[in-house]
Formats: sequence, structure tokens, C-alpha cells
Amino acid sequence: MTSMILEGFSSILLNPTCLLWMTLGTVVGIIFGSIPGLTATMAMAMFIPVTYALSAEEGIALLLALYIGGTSGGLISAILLNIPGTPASIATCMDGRPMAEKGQAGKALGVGIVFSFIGTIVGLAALVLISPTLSSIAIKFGPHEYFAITVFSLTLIITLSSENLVKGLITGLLGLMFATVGLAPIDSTARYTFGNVSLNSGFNILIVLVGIYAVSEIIGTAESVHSGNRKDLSVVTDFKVKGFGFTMKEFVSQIWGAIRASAIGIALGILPGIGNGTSNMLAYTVAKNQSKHPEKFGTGCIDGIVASETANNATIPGTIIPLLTLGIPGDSTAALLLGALVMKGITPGPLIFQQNGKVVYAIYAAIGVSALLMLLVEFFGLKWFVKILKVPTHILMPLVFALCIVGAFGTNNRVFDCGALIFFGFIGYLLKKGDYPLSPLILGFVLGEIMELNFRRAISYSNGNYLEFFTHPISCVFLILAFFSIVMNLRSIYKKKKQAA
Amino acid sequence: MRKYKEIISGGVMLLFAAVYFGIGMTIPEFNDGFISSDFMPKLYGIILMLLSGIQIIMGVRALKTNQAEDGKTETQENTSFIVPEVVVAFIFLILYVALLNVLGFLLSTILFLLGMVTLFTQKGERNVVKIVLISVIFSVVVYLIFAKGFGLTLPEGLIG
Repeated sequence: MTSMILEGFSSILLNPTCLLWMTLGTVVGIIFGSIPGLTATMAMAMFIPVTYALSAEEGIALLLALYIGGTSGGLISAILLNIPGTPASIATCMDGRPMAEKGQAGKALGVGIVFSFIGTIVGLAALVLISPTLSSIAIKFGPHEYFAITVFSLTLIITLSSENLVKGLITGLLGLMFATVGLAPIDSTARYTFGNVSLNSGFNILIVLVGIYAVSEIIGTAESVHSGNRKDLSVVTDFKVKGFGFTMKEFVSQIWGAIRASAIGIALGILPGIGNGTSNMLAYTVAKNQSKHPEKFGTGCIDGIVASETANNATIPGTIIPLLTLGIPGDSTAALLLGALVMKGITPGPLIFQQNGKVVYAIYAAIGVSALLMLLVEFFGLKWFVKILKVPTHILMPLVFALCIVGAFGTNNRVFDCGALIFFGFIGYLLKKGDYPLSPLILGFVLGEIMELNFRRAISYSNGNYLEFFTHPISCVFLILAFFSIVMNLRSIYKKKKQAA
Repeated sequence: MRKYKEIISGGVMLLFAAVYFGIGMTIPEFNDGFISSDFMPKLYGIILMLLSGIQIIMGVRALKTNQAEDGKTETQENTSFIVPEVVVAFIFLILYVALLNVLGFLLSTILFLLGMVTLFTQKGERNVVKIVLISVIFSVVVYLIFAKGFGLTLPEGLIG
């Protein structure tokens, strides 16, 4: 046992080639994460052939470095450009951008970077200490439980749309509707494809996300050119960032929030199929609901960034829990890791600890090292990232869009997706003009298919008996939670209205 | 126009929901006693119709209460719906994507950047040399990094 731990750790820590590959992986991951449309998954797929030439430990360490760097990198564009680099940092925009507009871009980045690190480390602790317990809970999740948890997550739309409930629900529903395009789950009936084969697999989440956020930023630039009142962030921004830009006192005040967000991130990570596209928004809304000053959320308070960035990075070790202990990949990224392991003759599953203990400990070490590398690279990069704001918006935005096209094309190697990008951009522009909130659409879109698939599965498992949603204990608990979430949110909205009147 | 925004946007949503629901009616239904693929779309369609109905009613109500203090709200109208720059920007975006299959990534991106940066720069500040340099250098660097360095596939176009 001890020798396995030592061997595993030393295969990463005492191996200069491995550390070099991981540093490269972290840098490439951050670049891919920060460019809208390019993701950690794409970077990992690109580096899979490289892992053939490396040892099992080195290969998996490189992929983990890409994964962790890529998930954290999304915060850079979310804060500086108001365009989430990946679905994992949608909620980072909500407070990150207002902070940048107040001139605190450096501080916002610093908070995001440090709490990305903390999220990864807390997730790693859960992976090392309690993964057997967590994975035994995860296998109890059948379709009924999945359906219930998606319903619960959808009730968050109410929190995300506290400004105007009806409009929030409308955009959430639009997200669910766009998710129905393509072949239906279970029976593969073509829906809303209009005979176009390219639509059979539905829209890619990245295309929807980048279309709605990036194109609307570009069109926003066009409007500001017309009206002549350009926002010039380089005037207000404080480019002299000291350390990470925040004080020890601020750090201490966020510890409880970070623990809560980590727990949410890990929990959603171990559930296959949900992952960090949802965990950042869930953590954000929970933080807002439990906060003593919920009105500050969205105006640029660090609590929001802490919640979002801690949760999305805590999800990474969370996804690895069912992968290692059960051999179940939770998302496409975990599937790539699984593929890389299998290729080296390592079969993840309950026996991995006995058969390939060395690899398991190497994975633990690699996650820790990647987190540290990410912290270092982003810390030294911080001063440079902020300089992006020195580029005037009217030049920056077209350049960003060209990068979005690289990402959109890269998702499936077809120009069709670039067209879909503009389609969603147009939808996003219309919604913005009508004062509809955008984030519920993404949440609805992410959860739509999982909800429908598991709803239909559950119904056929229980022979059409709807009551089984309440006889399964976990499912029942989540449905009750969903009910309370709706009631509590409606009450707080009612209270606010009463105060205003 | 601005006064009726809520009613108009609600109306657009209602129309969209009705069309979506209508197409949903054509999805084949299997009579196996369980939920078929047409169920969710129909449900979403109905809920969206209800919600947009509520939005329209709220819009009408707000209009009635606001009528008393009319005149004041009208002055706030600063951005009209159709802005020439926005229309041109959308045309550029569509042209860019349309050209990708013909000219390939490098050439289309150079043209797109030339057009877009020129459009976004105020007339007095336009510096042709600077715009051309930015467009060409950026496109070439992105092409080299992603297509050559990372080995990603980028649109080749007809003339490659």
C-alpha cells in the first residue's frame, strides 16, 4: 500500500518530463478555456495522440492538466469580455463583468483564480477520502432520481430571473424547446429538424452559449458605435494588481461560501451527465438565496465569483469519482480520460485500487499538481490578462468573434455550426432587446434533454405509474426540495414587491 | 413603440409557441401507453403560450396605468429597434460564415475583420494602414496557431 502511494506520487512529482508536459497542458488548457467555443474537452481530444507516446501516468497527468486549466480558463473571458469561455463559467459573468466595469477586473480575476484552485483541492480531498461512499450514492440514482434532480435544478430559473419572473420562465422554456430539436431520446423520432440531416444531433451547447453571449456583445458594440457612447474600460481599470488583488479579510469571509460551493460542485460532478455547466449556476443561486445581502449579487460582489468558480472546479474531481470507482464516465471529458486509461490497459472500476493502485495515486498527485500549476500560471498571467482591456472594444470584439468561429467550427468540423452560431446570436439579440434574462435559456437547454430522457425512462420502468416518483426516497426528497424552492423564491419576490410598493 | 414593447415581445413569443406547438402536433405518437416523443414539445408549447399570454396581459395593464403619466416616458426612447450599424454588423456576420466554405478561414477572416473593424471605428479615427495590419496579422497568427500549431481543422474553402 505505502509503496504504491510512493510509486504513484513519485511517477508524477519526481518526473521532470511529466511536469513539463503538465505545464504545457495547463497553459494550453487555459488558452482553450478562455476562448469562447474552445473547451477543455477539445484540447484533451487534440492531445490524446500525444499520450500514446507517454507512460500511463504521464498521459493521464497531461490530460488532467488540460482539463483543470481549461475549466478555470473560462473565467478570463467571462470577466474581461462578458462572454463565458465555457458553459462552466456562465455564472462568473454575472458578478465578474460588473466588477470589471467598476475597474476591479484584476481583483475579479484574482478571486476567480484562487477559488478555482480551492475548489479543485476540496474536490480532490473528497476524491481521496470519501469516493467509495459517494459512488455508492451515485449508483442509487436511477431515472426517477435524475428526473427529480433536474426538476429541482430548473426551479433555479426563478432565482436567476428575480427581476421579472414571467420573462425568466419564458426564456427557460425557450431553452427547453431548443433542446428538443434533433432525434428524440429513446425512440429517435426526428423533431423540428425540417428534414435537415445536420439538425439530427440537435444544437451543441457551445454553439447556443457562444451565439447568445458573444454575438450579442458584438451587436452591443455596433449599437454603442451608433449612439457614440463607447464604454472604454481601459480608463477605469486599475492595471496595477498587487498579488491576487483581494485582502485576507475578504478571503476569510468567503471560506464558508467556498465550502458550500465545493460541496455542490462535487455532488453534481459524481452524477453522470450533469457536470459543471449546471454546477456553477446552482452554486451561484444557492449563494444568492442564502446570502445576507442578496441584492448585491449581480452588481459586482466577489461572493458570486467565489460560488461559480469554486463549484465548477470542484466538479472535476467529482467527475473522476464514478470514473475511477465504477468505470462510468459522467461526460464527454471523463469519457476521454476513460479511453486514455483503457488504451494503457488500465480498467477503471472497483478493482482498480488493487490492480493499478499506482495509477490511482498518480491521478491524485496529478490533480494536486495541475491545480498548483494552474494557480501559478494564472497568477503570473494575471497582469497580462488584464491588459486585454487596453485593446479598444471596437477592435477587440471582431477579433473575439473570429476566435468564436474557430471554436464553433471545431465542435463538429462543419460550417453549419457557424451558421447556427449566428442564428442563436440573433435570438439572443432579440431577447436582450425585449429585456429577457439570458441565463435561464442556457440552464433550460442544458437540462432539457436529461429531463425528458429520464422522465420517459422512469415512466416506462414503472409501467406508467407516476406515483413512483414519490415512492423512491431520493426522488421524493428532490421533488419536495423543488416545491420548497419555488415557494421560498416566490415568497421573497412577493416580499420585495411589497417593500417597493 | 417603446410603450408597446411588452405587448409586442409577448405577441412574438405567443406566435413562436403556437408555431412550435403546431409542428409538435405532426410528431408521430406511439400508442405504447407511455409518454411518446410528442409529449414534451406539446407541453412546452402550451406552457409558453400561457406565459406569453400573461406577459401580454401584464403589458396591457401597465399601459393603462401609465396612460395617466404619458408623455414623460416617451422621452426615454434613445435606442430605436433598427440601428443601421446593427443591420450591417449582422450582414457582415452572415457573409463571413457564407464565405467560409468558398474562401476558407484565412481569407474570409481577413475580409471580415477589415469590414467589421472599419464599421466599428468612428469615421474620424479610421486609419487604413492600421486596420489592414491588424486584420491580416491577427488572421495569419490565429491560422498558424490553431491550424498549424494545434492541428485543428479550419474551413478550407474551394481554393484552400
